[in-house]
Amino acid sequence: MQAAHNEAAIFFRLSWADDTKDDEIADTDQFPDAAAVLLPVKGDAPLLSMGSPDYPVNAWYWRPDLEAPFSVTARGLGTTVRSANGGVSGRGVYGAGGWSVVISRRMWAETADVAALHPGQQGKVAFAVWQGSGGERAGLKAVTLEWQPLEIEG
Amino acid sequence: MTKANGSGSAAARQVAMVFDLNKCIGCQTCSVACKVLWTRDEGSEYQWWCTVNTLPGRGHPKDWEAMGGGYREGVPQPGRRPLREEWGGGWDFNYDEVLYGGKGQSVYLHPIGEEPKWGPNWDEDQGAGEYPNSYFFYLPRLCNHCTKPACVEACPQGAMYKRKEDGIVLRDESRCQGHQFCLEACPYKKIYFNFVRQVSQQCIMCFPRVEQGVAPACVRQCPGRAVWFGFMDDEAGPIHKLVRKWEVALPLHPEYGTEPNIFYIPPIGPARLNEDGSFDESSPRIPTDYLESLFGPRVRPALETLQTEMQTTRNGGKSELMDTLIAYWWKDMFKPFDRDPADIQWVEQR
Repeated sequence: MQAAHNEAAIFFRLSWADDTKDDEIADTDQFPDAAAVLLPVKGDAPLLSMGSPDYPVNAWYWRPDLEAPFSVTARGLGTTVRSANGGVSGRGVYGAGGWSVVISRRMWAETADVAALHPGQQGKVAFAVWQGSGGERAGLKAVTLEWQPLEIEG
Repeated sequence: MTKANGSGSAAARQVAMVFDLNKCIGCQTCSVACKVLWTRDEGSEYQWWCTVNTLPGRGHPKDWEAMGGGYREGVPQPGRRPLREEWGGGWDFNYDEVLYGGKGQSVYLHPIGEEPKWGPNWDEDQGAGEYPNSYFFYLPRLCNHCTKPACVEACPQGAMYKRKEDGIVLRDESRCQGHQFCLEACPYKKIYFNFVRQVSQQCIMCFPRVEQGVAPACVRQCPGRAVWFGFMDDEAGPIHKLVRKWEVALPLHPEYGTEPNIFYIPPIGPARLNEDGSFDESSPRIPTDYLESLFGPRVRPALETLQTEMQTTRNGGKSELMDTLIAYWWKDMFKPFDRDPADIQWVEQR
């Protein structure tokens, strides 16, 4: 994991080993690899329950078969809905036995249902990756089990 | 796990269908009525939300009864997703070449690409048994809009729900992420994956028609008066009479535990023939054990009731059951959903 910002946007680079490049859904026995950055929309949003009704979480979800990553907001298990994209973009490259994916978004937030980020912020972040060839999708994924500190230099 | 939309909770009312397998002639008018209405878009070419298959047979998708899902004594069962080739269908044909390319006399119509290996009703009219006592019948299948829908329970996105007002099982495609847990959970394998839109899809019980008092297309278009539609709790209606009062309409594979709302009148079949051509009435042509493997042990009393009531009318008596099955008045088969769809100005919504 690496992160950087240029005041206008923040970038996360996730790299992980993966022996199988799963980048399409050509049949029902295939799922694509995926990665996501998860941020609390406000306060102490619980991580493992994907937020709560009052404390939502916002994910930026990347998949190799999609043209662009998209933003989702969840308020508890099974409540994920697409949210305002807010400039989420990304790109992934497969090589040397693994994925390297950069997911980025503009700082600040244009709508209340996504995470607001700004220089000088002391926040939290979590990550998840999905192993497509293992049938992983939705809640079947490898996750950071606790929020990681996110310190955005001001 | 709680779900945002309260999915999985029981419906206040339930619509249901009854197919009479003694009347179904396998004409596929229901299949085509559904096809032209709902599954013509890109990505749904291979989808047949309503299919009619010849039984005994391996069905559609191929060998779906061995794919798991549903419940056994209330415990969810593992299931698998049918593969694209197990559904088959959705082929492109060389229409241009044959119909417009001037080769109508030299080139035959055939699918383009890989040789088809399976499709809807692939084992048409093969049946079972030995001549002259061979047998087959037709089984229309669509989403069962189950009272305990395993698909709704399995969806981690809360995208599927059972409507309170009529028990129709629907999917909010804006929430569906194409994870296909519903395909695994459905023991009837009647959910398809749309590879273009990347969402799962299944019969929607023609809910936009039902909301306007119009019966589903498969029901209304049946030329054989072989299918009834209505509310289960309408005690004056044919659904209640056939399912609850006379108990001759049974769900397919009740052991799957999802409590389907599509019911079937089991087929009786013609009498067996002896070598000299005389009737052999000592045993049925369609083995009752086979029907029991499809419709459960209640098929035996159901068949007895049907035989008894048939005999009553043969003897000149009256039978409410036989009158209902004969269906003298077409529109009585789906009241109060007997509004003519041609009377409505339909607007396509995307």
